Amino acid sequence: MLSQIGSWVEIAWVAMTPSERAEQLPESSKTVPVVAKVRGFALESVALGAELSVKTLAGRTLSGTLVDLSPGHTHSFGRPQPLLLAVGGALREELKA
Amino acid sequence: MSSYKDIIARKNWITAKALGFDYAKYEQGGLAFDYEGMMNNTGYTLADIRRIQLETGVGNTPLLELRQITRLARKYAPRGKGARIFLKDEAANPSGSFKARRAAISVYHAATLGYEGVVAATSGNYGAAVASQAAMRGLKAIIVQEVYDSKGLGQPEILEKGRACEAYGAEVMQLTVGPELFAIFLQVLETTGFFNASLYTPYGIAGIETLGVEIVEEVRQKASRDPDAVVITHAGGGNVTGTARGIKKAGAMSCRIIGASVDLGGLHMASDADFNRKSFTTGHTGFSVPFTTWPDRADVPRNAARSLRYLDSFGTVTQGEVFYATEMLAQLEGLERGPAGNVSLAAAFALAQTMDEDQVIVVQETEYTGAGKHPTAQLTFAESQGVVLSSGDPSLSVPGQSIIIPSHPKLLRFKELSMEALRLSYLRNALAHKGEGQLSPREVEFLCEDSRAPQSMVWQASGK
Repeated sequence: MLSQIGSWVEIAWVAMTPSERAEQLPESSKTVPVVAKVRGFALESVALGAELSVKTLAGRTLSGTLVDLSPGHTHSFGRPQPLLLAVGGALREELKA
Repeated sequence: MSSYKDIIARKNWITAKALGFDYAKYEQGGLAFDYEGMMNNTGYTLADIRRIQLETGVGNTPLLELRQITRLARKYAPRGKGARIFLKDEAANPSGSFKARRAAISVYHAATLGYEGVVAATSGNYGAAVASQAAMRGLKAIIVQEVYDSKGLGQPEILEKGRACEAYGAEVMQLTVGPELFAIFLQVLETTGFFNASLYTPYGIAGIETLGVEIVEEVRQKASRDPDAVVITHAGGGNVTGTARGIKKAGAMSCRIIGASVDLGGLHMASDADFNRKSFTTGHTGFSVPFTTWPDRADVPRNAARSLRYLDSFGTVTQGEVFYATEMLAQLEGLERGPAGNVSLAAAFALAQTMDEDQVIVVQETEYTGAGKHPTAQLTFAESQGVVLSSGDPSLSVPGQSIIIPSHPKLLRFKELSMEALRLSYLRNALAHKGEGQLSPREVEFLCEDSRAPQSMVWQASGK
């Protein structure tokens, strides 16, 4: 799959390697890099995993590895929570009693 | 690529250029600086700020009385106790939270000075607020967020906040976990020449003062008295500082300023492993305790948010209690709102039961809710991260391991922290920054002002 020029894509790059990171990090953070991700309009046609420049919504040109060809927003409301579903009825009963 | 250390070393130079604000003018040697001088020198009076906020539809949000919740709290309170609970519906601001107040002045100021755009480092509602205000004033916006763990898994609430920024036309730079967020933010300032719309400038804090003023004015109108207590969700300290300053400017000198945070004790904020084990991304102890006890860890030379100057008390509630309060607000008052203000609501429900019936306690904010931010989203995510959910006594929960939804409203509690211990911790942090050498008389005076500690505590902290 190739990025279409002008299409909405996501790029990623290493913003700081472990050795460039802050001192005194917890163990789990010390060994991993700081990765940055930005979405923008593709300026070139390349394959996933290749280097690419994008124009962001602020008009900046940034470069990184192409990681998503059509990045959307998929976060949700999750599943119904039985523990919460019980609360409303119980509170109304409390007010009545 | 520059290292964290290299960039942080240039912090004061970068921020001065990106703010057009001369912090050096207020320095008084060593630890001391002229805080009130700095705050009174933004160039904007309270009346100016109200006018600027009105231009973009910020502020004048409704103050609602929570009659059903008050009635419920009185049921568990001793006879004659159970203060009236009011709530300031800040979700009615253009970007859905009080953060619009904070962004309004920064973005106006940036536009006045002729900056092409604004940058903010925030994983919270402030990003959307800056993006929304920038859209209204025709400026570009870049928001730098901490979103993912090293496996690329994003915290649902922060993903939602990123989406909102994008909706207002901002570029969103999303980072993996770590304190390097601030350094990368400084790099963006340096390369773009945009304005530093930091949360912690005098402009940001002055913008919140109107919230405190409005609360006092509306309580006087609706209850014919001054508010007796205002509960403020406490993170970086700006919300507490700005609101309290506004309350005092409106003349409600006896109103108690109460900070409330979600207890995330034991979880390290810079830890890749802990990052997605929490269900709250702001208003928690991971920010409020370090910022209360050392405000100058911010992305400006001198933090304008200094909560120890204003807090009369500060305490915590659990994650489960906030989810419960969120349900309570939706089901008893018909207001479906996001987590931030509900931290204060959970606290206010418990606190009201200790106050007289004719007194007034105000929950100082609400925020919008939606995908990612909603309790069902957060609990679904928590469970997927191995957090155990149950019903019972929330005080038995362990952050990162369990969330306990209260099995009865009587189980909502406000756990007060020792103000004395917080003051002592602030003083110890200050002395560690001072390093070797004697404190000057002005430094001692400043430390007492900044922490509201007696001089004897300064000597106690220094081991004398």
